Amino acid sequence: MGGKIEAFQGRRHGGDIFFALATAALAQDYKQAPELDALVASGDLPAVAERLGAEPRVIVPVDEVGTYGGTFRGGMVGGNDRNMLFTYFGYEPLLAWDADWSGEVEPNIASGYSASADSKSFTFTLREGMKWSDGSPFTSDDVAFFIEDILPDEKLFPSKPGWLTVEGELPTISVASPTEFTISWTKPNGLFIINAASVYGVQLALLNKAYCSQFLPKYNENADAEAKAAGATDWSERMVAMCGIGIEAIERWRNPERPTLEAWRITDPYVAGATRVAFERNPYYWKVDTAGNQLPYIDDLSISVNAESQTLLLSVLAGEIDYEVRHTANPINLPVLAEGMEAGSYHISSRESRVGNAMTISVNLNSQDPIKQPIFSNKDFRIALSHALDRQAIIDTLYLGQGTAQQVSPRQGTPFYNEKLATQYLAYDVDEANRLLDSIGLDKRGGNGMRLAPDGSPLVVNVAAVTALGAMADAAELFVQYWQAVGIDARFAAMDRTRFYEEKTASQHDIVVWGATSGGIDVFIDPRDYFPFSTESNFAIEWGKYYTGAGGQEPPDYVKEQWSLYDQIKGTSDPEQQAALFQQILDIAADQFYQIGVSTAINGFAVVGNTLGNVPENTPTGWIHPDPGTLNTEQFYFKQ
Amino acid sequence: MLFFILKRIAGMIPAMLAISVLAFVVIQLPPGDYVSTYAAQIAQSGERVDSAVLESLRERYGLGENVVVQYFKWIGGIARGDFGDSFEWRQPVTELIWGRMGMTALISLCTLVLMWAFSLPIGIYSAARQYSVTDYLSTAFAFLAMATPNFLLAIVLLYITTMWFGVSVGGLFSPAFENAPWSLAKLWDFITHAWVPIFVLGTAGTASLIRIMRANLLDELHKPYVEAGRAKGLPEARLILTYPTRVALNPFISTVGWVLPALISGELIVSTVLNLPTAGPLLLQALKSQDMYLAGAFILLSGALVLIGTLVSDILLAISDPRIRLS
Repeated sequence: MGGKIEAFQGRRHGGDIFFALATAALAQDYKQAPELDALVASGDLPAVAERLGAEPRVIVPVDEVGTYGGTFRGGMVGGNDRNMLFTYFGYEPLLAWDADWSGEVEPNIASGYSASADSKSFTFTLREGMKWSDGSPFTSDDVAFFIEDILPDEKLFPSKPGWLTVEGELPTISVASPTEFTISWTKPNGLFIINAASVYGVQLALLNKAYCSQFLPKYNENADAEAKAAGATDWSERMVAMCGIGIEAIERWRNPERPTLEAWRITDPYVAGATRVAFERNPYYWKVDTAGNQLPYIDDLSISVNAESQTLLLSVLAGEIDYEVRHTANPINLPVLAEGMEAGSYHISSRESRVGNAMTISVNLNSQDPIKQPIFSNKDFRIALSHALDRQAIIDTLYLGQGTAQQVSPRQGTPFYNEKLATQYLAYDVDEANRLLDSIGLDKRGGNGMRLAPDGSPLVVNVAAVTALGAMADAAELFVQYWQAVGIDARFAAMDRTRFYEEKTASQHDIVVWGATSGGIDVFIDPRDYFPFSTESNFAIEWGKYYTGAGGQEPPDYVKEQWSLYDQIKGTSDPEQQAALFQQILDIAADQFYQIGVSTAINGFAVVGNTLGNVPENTPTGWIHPDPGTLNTEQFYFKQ
Repeated sequence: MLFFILKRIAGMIPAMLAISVLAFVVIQLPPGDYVSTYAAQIAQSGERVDSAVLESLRERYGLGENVVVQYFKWIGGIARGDFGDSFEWRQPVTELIWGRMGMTALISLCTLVLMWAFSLPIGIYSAARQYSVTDYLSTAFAFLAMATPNFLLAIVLLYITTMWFGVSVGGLFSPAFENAPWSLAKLWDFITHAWVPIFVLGTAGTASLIRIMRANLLDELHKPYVEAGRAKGLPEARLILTYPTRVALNPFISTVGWVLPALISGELIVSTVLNLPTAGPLLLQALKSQDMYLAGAFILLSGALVLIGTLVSDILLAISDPRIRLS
């Protein structure tokens, strides 16, 4: 974790280790895309060496040095799909995780960093002469602009990102030189570097001060008047519209004039009514391959905006999409995609899932029903439910036998794997389940043969799942049958997503089936499955609310102990100490048995056009580590 | 005539207000709001969003306010030509709807014209030649076409073109022309793509119009005035087209008002299936994500179209048949 950056970059690929010296390519050797030659010759564009700066990042191509040219064809669905663009082409953090997500942090925009021993301040070094897509220099001032002028502003940032605050305190920045700055807090922020390398880290180098400052009253006294003249209600609305402040802001993909550090810049924006979003090469992109060719290889991007994922699926089958991992990569589509491979001239590439389980079964510990609450809080009740499931049969039915029976836990092979948490109560044992249920006062049966609550009233347990997410609803229907077999009157409640969220956010649910999250390197960033962390901790949402300061209920001491352990993790940047502390959190989670799991996570897949080169196989998929952005899409190329 | 039209328009105002209340109620009916749908969508794709961010979104959109207050804010804005902002696209609704509505109107109009162009002559011919081979053929076609749901036809067409010919027919333009300004080349590109949705949208309508025309005309053909004309030696074609056809057109004209909204609502599913840049997919998406101002604007406009359609058919009827105006 948080590996120190050496003078070289390492990339593990297929078991071999390739190294490339950052200065391998001499300045005069740099080559550029043919379409830029004429612009340079006519004097509209400076020479390639000048555009790249003194130390461009050297990317080792996955398979081979590529060739220039071509238009990448992708697909989006609906109006809220801006993060497709983000995950494919917008992952340019200061530091980046490697494609394998081994935990190594590589230099990216920053060429290096150092952390103070107490994890309170972090000094970054930028690349000499690096430029924005409009040719203006990228310097420490651009980062300082975000930290000092944007982040503290209540209008632009009404709620502050958790990873940039320590107990509510915002960071300060001191700029030593155009290429060196230090970000610091008065208290330790031990998770800062891994967050900076995650998808969130993109935030720090998103805004070009020279361009974006014109919308702020601090830099332009007419900003408010100009905003109103442009039709906005005030300067802040105009600023958001033109610069797209948050990493997930749709406005990030709107304004072709906004300078960017990404490999392609937008030409046809993602606005309502758009059916196609288009990008062109950023002539100032600051990465080269090992042969000194300026990246990206691919000239243009052309992304269709589809009304439905099924339409996109049809485009994939017709061979009109070069890479798809977001909307069609669903196990349900696998047979039809496999059948269409030859006609559509694509292949299916496996993606390793790194989440903690195929799904989570969460019994609501904060139930508002006075009769159900003590039953649900009884650990033996949850153990009985777990023993009542025939996991192997479920895995065979739902996942064609892929996956191994397991509880919700970090994955085996990571420093966070917890044997007890992963393997307890897995046996299919109906007798044990019945014995446990009898022992906790559920021994009386009603006329329908189902167990009654201790006060003699019928105990009906609703098991909710979202119908749109097919696999989870199918699973929930199976669980219900197993639980009825041990006398629990479980009922399957198919729900629309919105209703599901309304009910669970208000803690009105009994049991919900939902996806698991972090199970790999990312457990520190979102530990929602291992203790009440947020309103996404479905087993104890009220405690999660209490933790985030949004009301809720005060939890028992063991939860508070987990919270304090998590604070200690943030207080250190020693990976071993962090892992040891996290094990203590997991031990408590194992003792409490918060959630029931089914199977190890099932792998995903991507559809890759046969002409697309330099696409690695079997790399992890995720949001924190957003693929295919982490695969370095700038080194994808079209084979001749 | 002018008084008649003014009276009709005056009657439309309270109807329009009632529609606006209904539209607002409909978009408020599902549980939750845009922010909860947004959170659920984000969570589904494995992405994460801060609950503090959600709260600030709710505040910005004024979702915590009383429903009545929200309604009056909304309708007050519309009176000033401001339909509010789309939550999902973060753009003013007015920027979104007109382009899409324009494309919808274009497709609907083409469909309407073609429907009439085919159904009228076929209907007249099969009534005049009742129980002929042509009549049986057109009847068979009509029943088949009416019984086939539009969206199914769209799916089958998509399947055939994709699987057998290896081209997808989704959309109204080739990728190269999608973002290009209008030109002759783009117009031709539009024509080569637009026949699919027009065909899909038009078949069922054409079929039912053929049946209506045939039945109406058959009612008239045996009336004494037709016999009288024939006895006077009028040529058969002129006889049928001049008198009974005009009368038979009456029920036709009075349903123009229903054709407009039916085309647009039928277009919703078809254009979603065919991925057309029309109002349908945007409305469906807005409803799914509870993007209430956008959905409300579309529902309001569809309601307005029903009223306008009815007005148009009333005026047309009044022109073609003076008895209606007097009664």
